[in-house]
Amino acid sequence: MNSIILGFFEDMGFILKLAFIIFVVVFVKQRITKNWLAITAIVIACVVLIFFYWPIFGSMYVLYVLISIGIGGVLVDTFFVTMGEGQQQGGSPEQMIEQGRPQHRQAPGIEDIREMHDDMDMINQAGRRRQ
Amino acid sequence: MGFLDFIPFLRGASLIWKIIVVILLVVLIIPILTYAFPILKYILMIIIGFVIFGMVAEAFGNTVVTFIIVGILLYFLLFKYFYISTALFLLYFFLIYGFMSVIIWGTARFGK
Repeated sequence: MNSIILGFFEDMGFILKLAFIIFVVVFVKQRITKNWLAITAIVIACVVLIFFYWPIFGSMYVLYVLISIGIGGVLVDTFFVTMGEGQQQGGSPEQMIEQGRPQHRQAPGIEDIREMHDDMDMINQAGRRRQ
Repeated sequence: MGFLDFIPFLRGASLIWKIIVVILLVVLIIPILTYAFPILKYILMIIIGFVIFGMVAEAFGNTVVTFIIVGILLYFLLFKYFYISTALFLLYFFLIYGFMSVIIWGTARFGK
């Protein structure tokens, strides 16, 4: 089982190195037009980066590929939609926008007006009794 | 009620777990379909083969080196790890065309 997993990671590492060589070739060819100079730069870059500093540049290359294909947008979307989930207040972005607005006092409804009329009647009756 | 509540361990789970499960389900569609309809395997092999050849030919041109590297990559990606590479290719296409946002926002909207 371990050998299968290790073999898989070795194969993926090998594929990653091939992809890195292709990336270096495209990168250098776009910038250096002289053929002999481009080939020299490619050979030096590949030997130095793959054989000497592969743990650093391999992880940097993986990060570069992930960012260039848009993993940052996925993370932003994920964290945005899960932003208020741990709190008691609503979790959806719409609810959060609603909660961010200042709370205006609501206009009185028909029940409030009836209660006000009842209170006025009681006050008037009390005034008549005094007279 | 969210549309993922039929899965027991996702009932009341955090939204981030639901998003991960939905992405995994969507990405695994191609390997499952390939397993169900074997003819799809050869169509996908041709598509992925052309994509890989396009990437390598951009670097080395129409030379022998291109064919050697394409051959190595095709052996690993299409013959040795076919199901993993098809799932990763689908994920890659979803990412570069911005379809992951649809999945994430859709899960957040309807998965609660």
